[in-house]
Amino acid sequence: MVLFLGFLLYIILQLVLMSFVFPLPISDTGTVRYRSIPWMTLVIIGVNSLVFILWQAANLYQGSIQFEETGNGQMLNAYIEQLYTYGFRGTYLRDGISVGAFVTFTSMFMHGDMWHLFGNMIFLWAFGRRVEDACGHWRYLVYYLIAGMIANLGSELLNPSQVDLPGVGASGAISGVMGAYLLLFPGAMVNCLWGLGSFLRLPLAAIGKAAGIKSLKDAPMWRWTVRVPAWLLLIYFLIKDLIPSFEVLQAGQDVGGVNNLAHLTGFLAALFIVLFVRKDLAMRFFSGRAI
Amino acid sequence: MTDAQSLFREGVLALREQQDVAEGRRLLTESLKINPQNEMAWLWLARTLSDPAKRIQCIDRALSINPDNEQALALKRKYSGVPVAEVATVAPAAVVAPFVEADANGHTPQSKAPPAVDQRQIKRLFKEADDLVEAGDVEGAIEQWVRVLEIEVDNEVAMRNAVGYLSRLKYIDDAKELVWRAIDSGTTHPSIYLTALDIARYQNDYADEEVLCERVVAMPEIDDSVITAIVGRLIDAESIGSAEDMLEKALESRPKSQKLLKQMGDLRHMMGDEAEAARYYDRAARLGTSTKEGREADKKLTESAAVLTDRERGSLVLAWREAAGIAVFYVLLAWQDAGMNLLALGVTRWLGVIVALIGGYLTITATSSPQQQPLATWLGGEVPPEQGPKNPPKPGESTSRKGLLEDPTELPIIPPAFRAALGAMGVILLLVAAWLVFNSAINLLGNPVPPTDIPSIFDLMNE
Repeated sequence: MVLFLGFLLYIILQLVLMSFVFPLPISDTGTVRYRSIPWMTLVIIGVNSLVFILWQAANLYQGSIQFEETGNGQMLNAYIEQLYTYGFRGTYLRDGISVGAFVTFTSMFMHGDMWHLFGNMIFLWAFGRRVEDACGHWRYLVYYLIAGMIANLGSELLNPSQVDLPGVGASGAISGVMGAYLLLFPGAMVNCLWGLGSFLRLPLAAIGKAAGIKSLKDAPMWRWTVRVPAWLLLIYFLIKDLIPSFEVLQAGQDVGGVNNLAHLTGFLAALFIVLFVRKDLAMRFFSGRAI
Repeated sequence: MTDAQSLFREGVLALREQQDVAEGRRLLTESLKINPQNEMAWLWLARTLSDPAKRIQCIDRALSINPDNEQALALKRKYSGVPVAEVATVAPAAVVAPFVEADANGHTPQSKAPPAVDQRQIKRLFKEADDLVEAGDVEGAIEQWVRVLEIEVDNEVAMRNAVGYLSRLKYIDDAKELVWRAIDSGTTHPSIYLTALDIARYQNDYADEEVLCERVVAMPEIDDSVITAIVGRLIDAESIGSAEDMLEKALESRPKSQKLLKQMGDLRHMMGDEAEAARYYDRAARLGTSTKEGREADKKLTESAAVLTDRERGSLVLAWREAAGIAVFYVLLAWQDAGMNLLALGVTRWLGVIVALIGGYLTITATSSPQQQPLATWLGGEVPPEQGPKNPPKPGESTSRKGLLEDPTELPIIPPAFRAALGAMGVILLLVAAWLVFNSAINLLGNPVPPTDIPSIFDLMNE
């Protein structure tokens, strides 16, 4: 019990630290118009979590402890083997190694560590809910997979580096979901955990209350979450990926870590969202009406 | 003579009460065949004609019978733009005739823009009225405003003042008479209709209220804002049923009025019928969002359920759009299976993409687009029976809802047996396409080739 509470406290502390300077989207404020439960988003989150928890986590965490305590790297090696066998590598597609092009799917559901998984899933929840609502469950799944494939292809084709490191994670596909969100709901407000934003909001709330501004009059002075316009937030994330991507292209090498190129190309997959949104919504989208 | 007069009266009634222009024209023409010397019949007939030349001919016939007929002169000014000087000799009527009488005698609309000489006279009369008010002679002032209304039957200022003071003096019937004269003349000023409505409500004269609403709705020259203003007043007075009736009738003749559609949406929303509100908002928004009403309706729509119409259900393009989405998925699979070289896709994989496109289309036809036209008709589909909401609200329960609203459909739907067959065929084609485009990967899944360059933890630490 103590261990569990300690773990929970650790997560909260990490979240607060992670989201102090940069906003961490946790949900959007818009209403869903078609279905109330985003089943497919939940299923994707579930599959990603299960793959990591049941298949990868033991090798990674127990292996780390084992390696630190005994110097035995057997479990860690198994973890590395998992990454190298089922992670996305261009060589596998070109030379027919491992499971060939199937790695595009296997890599999409694997993660490097718990925080990688947690960060991705929180973004997927924040933005996937309404995109799924706009598409319907199955079309959303197809779009999600397309975005993931485009992200993998983009990072592989654009990356000038000779080092063929395996890529894992749902972030490319999630970038596609974020891009779709930007295209479909630019005017939405997204609830973010953002410590700095909460502090910056304080004087604004005080002035607004004093001036009797309607939207701030009854609002609390302090809020743990800050509402940020979706377009602003998503463009910020786009730029955040754009700059390191150009650096990689310019330097001609990639040292690993965050695959910004995959995020960037995943974002571009949003152009295909018009093929997957519901009929009535597509008509509204093309006639310039609100979605 | 009696026959001609009867026909004339019936013609006028057909125009006034039933708004039946064709019948009115027929009766008036019959009347004039018997008695071509009825100047008022010529003027009423002029009102029924849309051709300006023919209209002028009718007015000329009336003037040839009575060159001093002021309505005829006013109409001629209005329709032919005859210079002011030519008609300046027209003297204003001296007495306010009761409006019912006036109609029965065939009073016709007066000019909305009186000539300059009348404007001078109006100005003078207003000044006299002001002086009389200052002197405390309210009745004298009313007389001056009434004179103004004799010149310009729907002068808003004169009407407001005259009706205001008459009401204060409890001469409601006289006020009503002035207002209805203006209405009978075909005024388009919203305030006059609102005043008539207020008077009707004050007198609890629901028949008058109903007649007023019907007449406004039936007048094509009346701006939508007049209707919305009257409906707004009815809503304020909690006459929701009357407001609803009026809007429904108005929308029959003006189905593309965003103002009316938006107001109907608001009314339904107020009544708690969110589904119907969403339908009206949707109809308004579909007409375009460049107007204020369009934007507001669109905004309201985002707060409620979306609406699926037959246009979308029956669209072939929208169905192929979804199939194109599936084809994109298969192109990406093929591209990766070909080692990320588009040129190496080969005939088999391209064939797989085409099969996927067809399979996708069939699957979509069977599932999400079973009403696309003309396919559904060709396959012998029938229009599905109208279905009520799955969980109809209980009495007193709000009808507010979320989710997709499906408009009653008039499009045939592909028969279930055909749909099942198309769906099965589509799925089979998609599986075949997957095998064609992803063949190398499928083979590797059965016989994976283990990578040989996997580093150990020690290698990575050394790096």
